[in-house]
Amino acid sequence: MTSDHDFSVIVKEFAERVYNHAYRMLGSRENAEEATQDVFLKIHKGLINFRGDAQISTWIWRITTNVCLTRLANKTKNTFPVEYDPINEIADDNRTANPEKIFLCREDHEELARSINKLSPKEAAAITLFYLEDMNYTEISDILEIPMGSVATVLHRGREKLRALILKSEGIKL
Amino acid sequence: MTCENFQQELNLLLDKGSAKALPDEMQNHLSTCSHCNGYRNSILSLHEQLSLIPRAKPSKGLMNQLLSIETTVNEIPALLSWKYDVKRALIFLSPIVLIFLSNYLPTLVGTLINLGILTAGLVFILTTILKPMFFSRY
Repeated sequence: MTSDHDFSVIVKEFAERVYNHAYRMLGSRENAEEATQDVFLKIHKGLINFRGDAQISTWIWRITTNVCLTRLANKTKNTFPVEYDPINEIADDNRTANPEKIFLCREDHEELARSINKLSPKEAAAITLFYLEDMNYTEISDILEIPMGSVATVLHRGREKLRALILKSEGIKL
Repeated sequence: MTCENFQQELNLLLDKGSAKALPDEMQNHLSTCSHCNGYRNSILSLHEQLSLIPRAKPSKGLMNQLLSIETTVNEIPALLSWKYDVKRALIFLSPIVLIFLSNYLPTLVGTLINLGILTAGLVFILTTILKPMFFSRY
């Protein structure tokens, strides 16, 4: 095991990013903490056999995404935080008259982030990797193990759903 | 250009980071379509807002737990190894001790001890020779 692959170095370098990714995908701190622990246990277990065929960061992101996807598949939507209500039917008349201004007025990024876990697991993963981790199509395609063309489609669909969710929460018809 | 094409192209440009300067064909469509104008503004804004989402930070407790994974996981085999070695030593030494004692004790007790020696021998064979052949150490 080289110093680059030293477990404590990996924890220090990736823990915050892995947790952030899990939190944005899973939508609650408790789930994100459990997922982060799972991820690092898998990393610790697999590190000795890591052959370096892929970059270590790609390998870590693949583990992270798979852990989150498995958790999302295993848990029902009811386990997500109950305090989050995606549809607030109260609409402002001025906003209704000018839907394209909605996003410009919106300052609550946290609420937008919480909307991410309303997407399908693959869309949530792609949106999180693209926007929060600044990854490109190639990297996302490697991590999600889907063709490059599908990355564009998944991102497009994810954005469309987020846009629809937010407009709906503001009581605006598309 | 249809609205659907415009929206697809716009999303691709958005991903490439060049959605602010549109090609002529898209610009022409935009000048005649109010729906796509609204769509462009909202999707650009969403794109910008998504890039501004703040990072969620893990608690110190979680960081400590993660850093302790290595110590905890490494300690378990070491502990098992130590216990395993003591067990082997006891099994190996017990027949010698029992044979030694049987020479100095009455017949009945001596017979029981001999049975004990046989049992210990069997346990020794099962745990140290046969078991590792079929099961891993941990």
